[in-house]
Amino acid sequence: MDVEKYIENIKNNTLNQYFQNNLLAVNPFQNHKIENYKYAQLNKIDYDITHKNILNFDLNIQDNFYDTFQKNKFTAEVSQDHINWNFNAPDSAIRLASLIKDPTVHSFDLNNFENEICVIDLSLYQELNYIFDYNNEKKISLVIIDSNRDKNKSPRYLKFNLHQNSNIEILQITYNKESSLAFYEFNQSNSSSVNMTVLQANNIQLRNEFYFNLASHCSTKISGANFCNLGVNDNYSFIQHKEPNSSSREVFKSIVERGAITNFQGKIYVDKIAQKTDGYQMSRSLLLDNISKSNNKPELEIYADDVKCSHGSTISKIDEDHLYYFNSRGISSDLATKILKKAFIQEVLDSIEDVSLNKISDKIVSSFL
Amino acid sequence: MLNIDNLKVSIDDKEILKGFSLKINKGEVHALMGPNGSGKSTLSYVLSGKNKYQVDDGAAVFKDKNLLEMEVDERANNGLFLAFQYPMEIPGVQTSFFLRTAINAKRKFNNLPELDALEFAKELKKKTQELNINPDMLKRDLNVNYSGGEKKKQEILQLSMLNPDLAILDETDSGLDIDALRIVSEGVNRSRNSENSFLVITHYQRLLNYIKPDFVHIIADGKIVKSGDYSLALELEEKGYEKMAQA
Repeated sequence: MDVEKYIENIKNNTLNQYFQNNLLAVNPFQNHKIENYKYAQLNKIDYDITHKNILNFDLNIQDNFYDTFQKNKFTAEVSQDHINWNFNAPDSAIRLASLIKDPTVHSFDLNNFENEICVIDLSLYQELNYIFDYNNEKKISLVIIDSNRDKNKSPRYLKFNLHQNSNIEILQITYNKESSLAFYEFNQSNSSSVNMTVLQANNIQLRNEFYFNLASHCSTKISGANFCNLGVNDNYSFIQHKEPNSSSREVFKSIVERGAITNFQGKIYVDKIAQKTDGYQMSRSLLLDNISKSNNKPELEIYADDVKCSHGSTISKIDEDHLYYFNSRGISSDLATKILKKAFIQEVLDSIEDVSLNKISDKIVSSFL
Repeated sequence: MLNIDNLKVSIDDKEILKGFSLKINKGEVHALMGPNGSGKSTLSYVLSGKNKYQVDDGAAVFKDKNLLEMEVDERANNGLFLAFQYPMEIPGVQTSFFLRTAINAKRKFNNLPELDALEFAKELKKKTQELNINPDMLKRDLNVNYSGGEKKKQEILQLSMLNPDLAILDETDSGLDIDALRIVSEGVNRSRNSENSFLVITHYQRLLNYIKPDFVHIIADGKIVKSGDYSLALELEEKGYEKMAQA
């Protein structure tokens, strides 16, 4: 079915009906490979929330962006928003749903923000769709917080246009959410770099999607950790190398327990002209019991012949020899497990470069692990 | 301190220790020597409580308690320490954090307050200097990308920080160069006193030139076949395991 027609057909439906009647029932995008969203298709997500034991926890981090944003934002056309994804890239149901619910896209030039660290608490923002432009060699650091304080359960769509040589670091934290749907898109011009760290803790239903479109000499790093969650947690990533000489690094770690299910599906796509691409992807899951599940699906789709791309995936339980070593030094299994859980995601935490972002990540990690 | 009586242990239905007996008193250093596959490492794992070993018969009493009934961490907190032949690499856990956690676990077990961070740092600095350990190593992940010698030094550092009543050194000399062997041995000797005991497991007499044992035992096919003093080690070096086991 044609996507435009599809949107037209459901324009008057509420978001919930949209999911229930359409995305949950069938794959709406018949022209896409069935492999896309193999594990992470929306109709696999059970939206019946049966667990309600969300902890009473607050990061207590103040937003410092709202006023500047409201003063300087302008409205962008949705039509301007489409970028030329390769035809093999699946369009995101979340992105579409977000645009259907509110076709307005709010745009903001991050060069207008003067602080070095920009804290965005999404619960304060009524807008669903954002485009952020950044054009500066000086690195800007962003913290994006998506928590249960945000009563608006609709999907969020955040797009970042990075101009030539610009440099951005993002710490995105999703916590305490009963249901979180978010779509992040990065359109990177030549020689731009993104370092994104994703922390997801204490959520029930979650689906985040991360799309990166890389021009030449770009660098992209995305590191994710999913821990202490319930229900179904989905992460989907699509890293598209469209031009030569770019590098991407992706590490995604999930600690799965209490009957939760985590799905990770990530693709590195290398266009036929994107020679000298250097891509790496690793997904690892740590299963802590016999009732939890993890589906990891790493993917490479390469059309250039002079590239270096690797991917890997592991799902394991806690190493008994590691536990034994801790025990042999007098450390109880409970404490050892706690330490080993944190050790498992340490690689993700180490990817954060900014000291202030590090402090924030420590706060959430030490609260849950 | 430790009394092992007629210990029989198997793994996957294969009997490894076949009636092993040994008594170690307070303040004594015992050396256990034997060829490959004689059961030396099995003994050290069984005493520390590794769970894949099946104890079929016999007893092991440590400080008047039934050692074999205790959990692994309980044995450690009661004062048993095993310096591993192949220390585990634990990515994501900083070495100094691990050490501090282990010390505080033992202190908690003994109803003592946690060690003050400053006090810990002071003690750690002293011990690392004694063992000629680069302080940067303490900031690295535990045993990850350590050389063979660094791993063994790390084990002896843990030993000297935890101050156990009985330390079992499982082939601590393997993989050490001559200088490292001397430094590690000196570290062990500094920890020796009249209140603690050591069981030194080794293939070679060389280590015993540095750590002088009070008793030397030869193990073959799962039990002690000969015991004596330090001169037994020298004799063993001259004649070899096969001849000594036959004699």
